[in-house]
Amino acid sequence: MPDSSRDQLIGFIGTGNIGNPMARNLIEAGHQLVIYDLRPEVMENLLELGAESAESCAEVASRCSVVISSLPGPPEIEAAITSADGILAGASPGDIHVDLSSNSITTVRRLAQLEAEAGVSYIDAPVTGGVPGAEARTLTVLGSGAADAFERVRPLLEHIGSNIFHLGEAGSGCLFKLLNNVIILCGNQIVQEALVLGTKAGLDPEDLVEKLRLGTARPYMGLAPYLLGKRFDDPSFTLRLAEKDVSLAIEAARVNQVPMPVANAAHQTYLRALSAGLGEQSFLATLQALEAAAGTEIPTIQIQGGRASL
Amino acid sequence: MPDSPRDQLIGFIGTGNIGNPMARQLIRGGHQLVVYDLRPEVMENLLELGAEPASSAAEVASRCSIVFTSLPGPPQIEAATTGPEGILAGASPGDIHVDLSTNSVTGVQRILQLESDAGVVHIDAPVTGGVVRAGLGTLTILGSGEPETFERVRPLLDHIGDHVFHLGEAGMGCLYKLVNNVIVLSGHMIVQEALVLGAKAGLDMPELVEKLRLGTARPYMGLVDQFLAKEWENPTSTMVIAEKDIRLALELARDQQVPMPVANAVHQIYLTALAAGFNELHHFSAQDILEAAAGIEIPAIQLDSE
Repeated sequence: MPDSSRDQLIGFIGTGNIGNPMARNLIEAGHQLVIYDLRPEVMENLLELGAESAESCAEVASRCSVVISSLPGPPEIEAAITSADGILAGASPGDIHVDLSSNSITTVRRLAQLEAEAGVSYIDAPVTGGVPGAEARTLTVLGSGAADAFERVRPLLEHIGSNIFHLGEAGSGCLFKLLNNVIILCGNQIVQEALVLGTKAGLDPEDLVEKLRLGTARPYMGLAPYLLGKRFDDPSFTLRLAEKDVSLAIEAARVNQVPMPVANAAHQTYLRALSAGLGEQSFLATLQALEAAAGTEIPTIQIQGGRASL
Repeated sequence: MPDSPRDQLIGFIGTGNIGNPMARQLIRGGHQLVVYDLRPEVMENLLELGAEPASSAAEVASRCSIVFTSLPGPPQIEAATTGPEGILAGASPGDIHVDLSTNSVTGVQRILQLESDAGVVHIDAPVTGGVVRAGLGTLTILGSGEPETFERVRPLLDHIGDHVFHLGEAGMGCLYKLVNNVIVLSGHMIVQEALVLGAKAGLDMPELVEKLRLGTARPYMGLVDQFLAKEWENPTSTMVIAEKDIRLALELARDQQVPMPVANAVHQIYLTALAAGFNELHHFSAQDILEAAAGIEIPAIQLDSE
């Protein structure tokens, strides 16, 4: 164990994908990190920058009074907290756990309750802006949970994002995040459906996109270069995560008794794409499921512009 | 009848909603128009600007060798073309009919055939950009049909839009337009569903919108001030037209055997809105259907647009 007191070290669990650049920004801002990930290879660059490694979530929590996590979804978050070598196995009363992941609202509330019983303050603070936003420190951080604990960690959050919000009691941050994601994850589906229709009906897809960018559909066309370029490998946001987020939004809709016909239709397409084995591709790879359903294939075309991140 | 020969007059049928500002642009461009609409009141401002009225589509066609139409959908286009007082009852061989409406692709092909039998050339040239850009003369025009004829009318279309395209054989223009509109008319529905969920789950609407505008949902938030202002009356785009355009896209999708799960879900919401009597309200009022289905009402608020 190093000599630094627990208050001087910051724990960071989950250093893959978007967690990695967020952890890097904390290190570059002068913080000493203790990190853990199930996959040692995604910790390497951070260890080179001076982070210390831990063997488990429990070890991270035992060494640091503030622990940050960035994980794929509810099962991973739950395991990192409540499993035999999870955060609660190492944490002390008065500690703070900041979860930057997108979680289900009901799970957030349950975990906040479990941690509160152990004297740990739970802050849910999902981020929006994607890997590029994480790298540029321009993320929007949608925080919620106990206000005094949030203010204690706000200086840390300011190293990873440019808009840091406290939105209310635990769960509010995840709700904002799910609403953001359901809009972009389902909104792009109708663009894909329309491109498949246009192509199968005989239009040249490149010409079609050029005209759509000049018409009223313009605001929806930002991801078109990624769709036509079919750049689905090496995704910044996987289809598996997209299906999870749409599913969590639909769960929130069920809990609140809000019918969401469009989100449910889009979810069916995500399920179809998952069952076709596209889970580790970009979320935009649902295009391939829609193409297969229509029995047509849009040729791959490189066009200019666009952005593809969540 | 005025002395001007038929070639000097331009006919314009359908001078309501978006047809009116397009006709105005042609008058501003120095053209003498002969106008007709079933509702005399939507012709008045054009008559004041010097247009001459006709009492039927047939009369317009008998007085003008080039006739424009801007009509709500396939039944109106078909009636204006093939009805007893329609264009074909007044047109002469060699005339040109430019239809700026959104028609079904099969509808375009049928009218093209009928007009061609009468020696009239049909150009389908639906427009995109809405009433606001029509007033500025900056529409995008998705033209198709016989290329030489299209080039003859291009100078007229240049008064209406700043992007004037010829996209191929007749029907292609409507195909592009339907693909555009199915995106526009479906895309906002997921935003509205999400707002209803946020509202029912207890979020403050201005705060939610502020945060969504800072997140990755940003590109979809351009119309959100209108969703929350809830000014559904006197719309620039009605529920009837929106349901029609989605239906035409789905009809095309069925012809082409292209499953469109999201567009079909959206269409069900538009049908529910029509059944609730929202016909002449803005198509954004489909949000009221989503709110009613969730058993809540989002209060109307004024936000800054972006």
